[in-house]
Amino acid sequence: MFRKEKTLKISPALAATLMICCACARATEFDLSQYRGKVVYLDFWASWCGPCKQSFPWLAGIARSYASKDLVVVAVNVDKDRSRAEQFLNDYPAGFPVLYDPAGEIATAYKVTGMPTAVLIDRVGHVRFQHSGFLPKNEGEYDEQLRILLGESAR
Amino acid sequence: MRVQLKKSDPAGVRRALAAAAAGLLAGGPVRAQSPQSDPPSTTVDSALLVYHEVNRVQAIEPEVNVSHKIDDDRTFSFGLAADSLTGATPFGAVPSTLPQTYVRPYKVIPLGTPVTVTSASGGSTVVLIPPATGAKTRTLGASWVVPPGTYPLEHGFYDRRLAGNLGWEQALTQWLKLDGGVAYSKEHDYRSESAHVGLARDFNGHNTTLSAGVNYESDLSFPIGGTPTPLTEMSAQWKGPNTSLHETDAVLGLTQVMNRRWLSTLSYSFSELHGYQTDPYKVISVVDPVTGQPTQQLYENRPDSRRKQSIFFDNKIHVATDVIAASLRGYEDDWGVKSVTADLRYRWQPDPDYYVEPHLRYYRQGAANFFHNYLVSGAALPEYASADSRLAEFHAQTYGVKVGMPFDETYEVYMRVEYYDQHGNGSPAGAIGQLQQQNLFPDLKAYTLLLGFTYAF
Amino acid sequence: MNNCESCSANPPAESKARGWVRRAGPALGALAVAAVAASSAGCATLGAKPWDHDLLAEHAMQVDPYPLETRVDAHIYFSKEASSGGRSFAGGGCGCN
Repeated sequence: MFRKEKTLKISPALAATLMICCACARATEFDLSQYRGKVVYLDFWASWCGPCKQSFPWLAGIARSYASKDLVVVAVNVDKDRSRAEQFLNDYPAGFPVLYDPAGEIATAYKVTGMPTAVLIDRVGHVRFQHSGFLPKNEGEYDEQLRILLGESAR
Repeated sequence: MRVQLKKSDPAGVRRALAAAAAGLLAGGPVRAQSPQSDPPSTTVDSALLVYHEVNRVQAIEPEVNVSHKIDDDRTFSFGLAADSLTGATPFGAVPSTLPQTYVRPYKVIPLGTPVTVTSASGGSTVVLIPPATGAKTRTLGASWVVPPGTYPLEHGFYDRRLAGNLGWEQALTQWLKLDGGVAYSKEHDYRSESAHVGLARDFNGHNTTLSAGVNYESDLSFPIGGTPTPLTEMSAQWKGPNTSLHETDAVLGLTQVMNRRWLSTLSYSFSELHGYQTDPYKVISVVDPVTGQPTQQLYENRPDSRRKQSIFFDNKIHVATDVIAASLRGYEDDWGVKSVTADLRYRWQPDPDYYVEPHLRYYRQGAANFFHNYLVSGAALPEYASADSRLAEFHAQTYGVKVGMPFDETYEVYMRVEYYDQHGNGSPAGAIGQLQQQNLFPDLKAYTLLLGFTYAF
Repeated sequence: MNNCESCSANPPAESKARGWVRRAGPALGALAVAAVAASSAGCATLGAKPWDHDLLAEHAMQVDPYPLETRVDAHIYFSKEASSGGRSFAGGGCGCN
């Protein structure tokens, strides 16, 4: 599905169709390669994670503000119970793509050490910053890191 | 293609990332959305305890605690509790086959004031004590008679207590937390003030927590009738001055996540108390060495220093949708008291909206080394002696059930009923004379009802 | 905060803990490591992955989920029994932040 789209602007109708198809999709490989040239903010979250409730509005904000500067926010959910994640998304709407990783395979690969975890990947695909935990008072610091990465060229 | 890390990356890992169920939830055209709810930052916890001992003490205790999150890494809390106790309580005297009369100080009035009241609380009779020569005041005593074969109780027992506390908790770093607080409690004959501070450090990705805390408490006792001289005869005379007690406690704790479903805590605590620890209202009976009939009631005496230690092991285990809470505590002090407590709760929660939690607690303690059911006339008086059943050897069971209805993380209502049964040795070997046919341990049976309501916003 | 293995940029500044905390933290940490190592070799292998703290985050799995109830019980038992036990209340939970 990712391979077809270069951007994430999908009409709600198509999105709904894709959602239905995704539910019956087999395990596929999560491929960040299509984001080469963009800055990726990979966020690991769960419905049971209190600070995630504060991070989501901020993530929605940066996804909105920096989309034109090629920021992509991808949230990876680690809930074991999908319905809990969906309930969370009802209360704290995402506005950015969400991936499901209930077995923690992606989390293991990125060596997540705390919840939530943010992994900031630069335009050439290198992991440049990784944060464990989210505190609203540090939003300025997170923002600064984004500006550094967004300011770089894609080489 | 895979996500490529820079070539100098020591791990050199080609990250083939397979999502077990890759899903795409597109938000459509990205639009401004505000969350439907902010996470709650304030929690109000309230509870009401109704306590009823069969034929003894009854109490009502409302409590409230408010905690508020400031700045995401600090929490401020304050709490209030009030309790009102009435009823009758044992005071250390042994039962007898003959009627027994007891007397305690009741009031001090200026000399010359006419005395119109003839009865004091709890059905006791007011007695006039002859004033000392030259005194400007006179003492009124309250006297009561206990019929034969009845366990002696002091009626007219009442107490009202008000307590408050303030607390603070703050994350110093991502791994270190500081907490502290003060507490104050006042009843009509006792006042207590305390302060505590603690630190907690997380390790192993928040799987291990080491904590340490200290508490300091300072109490003042001003009993009705004054503080009696230990091991002197029970009388209506007004007694001595106020007394104080100081306590220092330290706790060390290790909390470990054993696995996804099991949390374990081990803690060690140590307390040192210095000051007045005697119960100013309690006596010990001196009995005839042959008949076992009480000849005197002497005010009790406890040491003014006490060192306590305990080890506490607590576990929370998640099983299916239920939670088991099982704990064990071992205690000992230098008064000779040793005890073991085992506590088990099973929270059956088949549905997120309600749970039923049966509860079992078993407690067993050994007597303090200066505990005696009674003293024998003619024998030398010991330095310390108490007949308070709280210091006796006994075992106690609690059987309870709690039912609760949680709603999201917004509120919860719960109700808990419990039955507490304390049983000691009422017929010790070697009991003298008439005491052989008496029950020397004032069995305690109590019912409690706890109603609780928590609201978060 | 920043512990990635492939950082090319300078890691962001350490959280600005005050001087005495920086001194106290490691001291407590050293004491803790000694205690943990001595008393529970293998503690480092126990635990759950950070993304597996879902059950531990539940209210009933907290060390002291009903503090008011705990306080009421402590008061009742303190007035009827000779023991009083200090328990520690730190740890457990979702392990977030």
